[in-house]
Amino acid sequence: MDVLPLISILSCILGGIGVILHTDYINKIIMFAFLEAGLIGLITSFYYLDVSIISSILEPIGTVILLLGALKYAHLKRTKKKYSSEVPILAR
Amino acid sequence: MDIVILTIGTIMVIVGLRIFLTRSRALKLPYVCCLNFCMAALIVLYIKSPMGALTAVVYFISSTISSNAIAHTIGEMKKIEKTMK
Amino acid sequence: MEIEVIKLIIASIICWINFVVVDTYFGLPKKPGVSGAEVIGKKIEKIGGNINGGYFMGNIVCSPDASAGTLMAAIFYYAMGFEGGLIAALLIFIGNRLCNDPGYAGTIGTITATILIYLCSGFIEPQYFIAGMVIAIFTIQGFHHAYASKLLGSIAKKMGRI
Repeated sequence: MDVLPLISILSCILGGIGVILHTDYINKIIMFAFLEAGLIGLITSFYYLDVSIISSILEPIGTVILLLGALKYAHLKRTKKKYSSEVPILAR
Repeated sequence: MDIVILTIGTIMVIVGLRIFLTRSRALKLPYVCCLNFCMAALIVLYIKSPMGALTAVVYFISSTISSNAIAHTIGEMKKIEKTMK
Repeated sequence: MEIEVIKLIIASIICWINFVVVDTYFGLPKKPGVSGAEVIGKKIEKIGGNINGGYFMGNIVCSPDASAGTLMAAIFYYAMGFEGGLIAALLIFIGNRLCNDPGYAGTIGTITATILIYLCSGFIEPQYFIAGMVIAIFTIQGFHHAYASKLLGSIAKKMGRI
């Protein structure tokens, strides 16, 4: 067996275990980028070069959308405490 | 088995284990950068043609954009945590 | 067997000197070019390294500089010959502009790496330069962060580029 498929399969398995085990969501996105590296290597090792080029172009777009969601979630979680402390005063 | 491919494979296994075991968020990104270098080199050594070189270049630049976005987001989240407290 | 190991070590040293000198000359240790590089530099300073070496490593992570240029020059020389290096310079320039960087360091680094590989082509084949570049990036980004940043900071201070 050649080196590229072997290491790609190892990288896919380690990335999948890492996505499950880590608890912080930035760490989850980093391990997802690690899994994508193995996936593109596995596609390339079967000589599907056009599929590999397209999927490696589309990979950062998915990562950027996930990161925008994470940033919006952090901003929302920080600003929500003020509203919840002011609402009882307004209701009274 | 060639010594060039064996060297790159050994380095890639070491770097993959170190990504999995490091605790800090910002210190994982240099290991991911080293992993991208190894993967681009292995792709072009497996497919010995100009199309393989084009695949390696497109993969490398796209993954660099991805790690750039992750580092920018870590900086923005630290800024949010500092101002909102 | 021994001659292959000697070729690998010589190629690794040539790649290391090429990308460190070009990146230091174009001012990577001076300031973080993009906002993500500042985070990595501060973090490396916190675990006991040098701040200028930390900025250098953050700039390598966040945009394709002369390190990526050396690898791409070796890859295209392996696949296409001497003309491939000039195509690699164009692709690295496009990648630099995508990451919001000026892009002088990557283009100049690719052209100098192509000339160095062409000068060595009688003795060392191009695939040894690919493995040599991987070893060179492993000694900086993957081996020991604090010691590598101290080494890069002292090199930048000796060249007078801080």
